[in-house]
Amino acid sequence: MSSTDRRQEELRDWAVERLGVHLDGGYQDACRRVLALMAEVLDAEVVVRFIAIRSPELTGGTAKHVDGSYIVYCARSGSWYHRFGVLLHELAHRLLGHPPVELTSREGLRRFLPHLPDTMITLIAGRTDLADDDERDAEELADSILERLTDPAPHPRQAGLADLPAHLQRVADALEDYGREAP
Amino acid sequence: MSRAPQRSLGEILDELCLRPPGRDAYSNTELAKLVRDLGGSITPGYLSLLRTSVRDNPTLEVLEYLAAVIDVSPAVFVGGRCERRGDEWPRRTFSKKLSRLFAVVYPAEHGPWTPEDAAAAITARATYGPISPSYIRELLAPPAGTLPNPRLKHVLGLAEQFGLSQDGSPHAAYFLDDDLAAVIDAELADFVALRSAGVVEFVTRLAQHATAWRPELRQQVVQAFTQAIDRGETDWVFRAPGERRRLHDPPPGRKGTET
Repeated sequence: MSSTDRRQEELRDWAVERLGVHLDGGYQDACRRVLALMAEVLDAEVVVRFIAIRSPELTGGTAKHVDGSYIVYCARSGSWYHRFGVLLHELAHRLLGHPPVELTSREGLRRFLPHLPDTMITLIAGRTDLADDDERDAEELADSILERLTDPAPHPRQAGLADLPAHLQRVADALEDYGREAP
Repeated sequence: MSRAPQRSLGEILDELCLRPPGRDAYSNTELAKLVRDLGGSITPGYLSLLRTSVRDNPTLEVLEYLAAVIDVSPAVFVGGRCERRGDEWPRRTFSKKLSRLFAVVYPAEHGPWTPEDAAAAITARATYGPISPSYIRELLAPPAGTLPNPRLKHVLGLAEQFGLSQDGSPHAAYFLDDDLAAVIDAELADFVALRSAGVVEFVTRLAQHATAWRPELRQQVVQAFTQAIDRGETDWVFRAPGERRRLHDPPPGRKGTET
């Protein structure tokens, strides 16, 4: 297992534990838990707005406001399960520490506004370091958390391990609960 | 990588007169007559001085007429596009473009420049000669019924002031190429929309491909964020835990923080 995979697993397990999501509360409640955790991770106020989005490519996004708060927008889907997936993706970006597109640095503006000349960019400033790998990692971690929360099948690591230490057995039991309680 | 040095106006004009698109070479006498026929005013002698770079600071009106007669874009004279696309009379849009630059392009720590700021900076650089604040004000708001008619060095000096002038790049053509200006203005408008909404950074899907975003997609991203921020009602608000909170169990790989 690569160090990246290992890190993803650690983050997934950490997120699953901190989310404490019991899906019998439904996916709307699960969305709230995701956002509460996001506020904790960001150590800032997080405002969530569900808005109509035409483009399927832009179902969610997170912006930092000049006042220090964060605004998360999420496509106003009829499915709370879909919203849950979108919000997990936003959380995953933060857990993975993906650098945002900064509108106050040159690199960010150069990528966001590619036709502006460098000297103009320097005047108004910008920076971003988001890479393909970041997006893929965020998606994989979001999927991994979602799968762990919703997959009713025992995880291979849990199966047949009756002699696990007590604290690990509790984790295994809890994860099985997620599956059973999924609506 | 260094850019190729930009050709002078004289070199460009001489080349166009010798090898104009779709016809034989122009003599100075013929070209001057055609300009006059179109309503402009120029003498064969002045054309000769321009072509030999003895004079290098014509008015924008002269460049407009020369471009119209030779059937090229006025932008070609500052290293921009050569192909003429319909009617191209950049004096008509000059004041609007200059006003937009003053409103939008400025260092964040400074705030918008005044004509006095711009004139002082352009004059101090001395790349394109001096310009006065009152003349910049006149370019921004020409007398009713008239069009601004800056000289080429004033155009280039203003372009440099707003970051549009780079050696060998076509960006100084902003004032002479409405198509280029539309592309730059659209990106500036998106930037201003996010800046005005208070966004200092963002993450969204496809952000790593932002350079290749279609203008429509970039506008949709901007609209999504501005819509989310501007909407009056607050749907859900989550606050970080209170002052006693400690992230005693932070995400793996991060230190806990006390707030």
